[in-house]
Amino acid sequence: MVSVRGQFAGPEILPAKKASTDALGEINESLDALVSRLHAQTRTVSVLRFLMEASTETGNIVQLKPECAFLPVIFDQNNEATLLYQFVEAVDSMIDHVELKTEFPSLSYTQIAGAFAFLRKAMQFNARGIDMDALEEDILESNADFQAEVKRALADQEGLRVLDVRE
Amino acid sequence: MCLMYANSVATEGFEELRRAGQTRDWEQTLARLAAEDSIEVPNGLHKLLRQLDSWIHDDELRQVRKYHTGRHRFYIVGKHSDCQYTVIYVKDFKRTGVDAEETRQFQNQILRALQGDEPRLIQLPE
Repeated sequence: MVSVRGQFAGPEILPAKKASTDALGEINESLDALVSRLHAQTRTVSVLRFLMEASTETGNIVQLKPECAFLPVIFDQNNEATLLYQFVEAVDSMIDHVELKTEFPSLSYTQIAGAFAFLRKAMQFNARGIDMDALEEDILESNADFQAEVKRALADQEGLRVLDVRE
Repeated sequence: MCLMYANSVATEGFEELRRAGQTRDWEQTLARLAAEDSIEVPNGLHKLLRQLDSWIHDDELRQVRKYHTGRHRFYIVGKHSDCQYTVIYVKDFKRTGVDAEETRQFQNQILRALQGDEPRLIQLPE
């Protein structure tokens, strides 16, 4: 049997209870987001500290400047910045992976290429969390003229030839 | 062992790299990476190819993936499941000397993007 109190009190209490549950849920979500942001910031600070120590220990040639969002850079005599990840790209271009493979015969060519890709990516660290590849992509590959050029290349089936692997 | 093809546009791109004094054989680099892929096990080039976010909504371009190595970008179609790839376009926009201006301009664009606004302080909720 339902009590009189239950019948009348119920409708008044339940919406209030629901509202407080909703509010608690929102607070929990905010706290989760805050904790995850704090974790991300802590990780950034840890990496930054490591890179700054590495810079100090290696003569401050590679620098991490706040105005460059702590992206590792080298300043030349004209005070022009060379981005360290672009320096890694140049090294990767010049080093013969076949020679590297003789030094590390158990690694595959894909692993050697992956090692350079990792070094390049790691040197894109910056405190603003900017994805440098996305930025480059935006500068170049969003360009309509460039896209049209690639589309023309895509349609080109002339002179299709297989690239043989020399041993 | 998957195969790597090149169309005539890419072949011209490889030629340009050679003319620019590139000693590394980029055709061989790509062919070796493709050869480390198989239909069953994508342990080669497949792992290094990147889909381009800005091209994903374009019917033609969405099939193109990019291999960014050294200063070069190779635009490639094909899948390990077909066991063949075709390099369709070679982009070497950071070649020293020939387009050094473009390189500097590009670097400056990147540096400007990094400077941007002051970093935002994330406020604690009230």
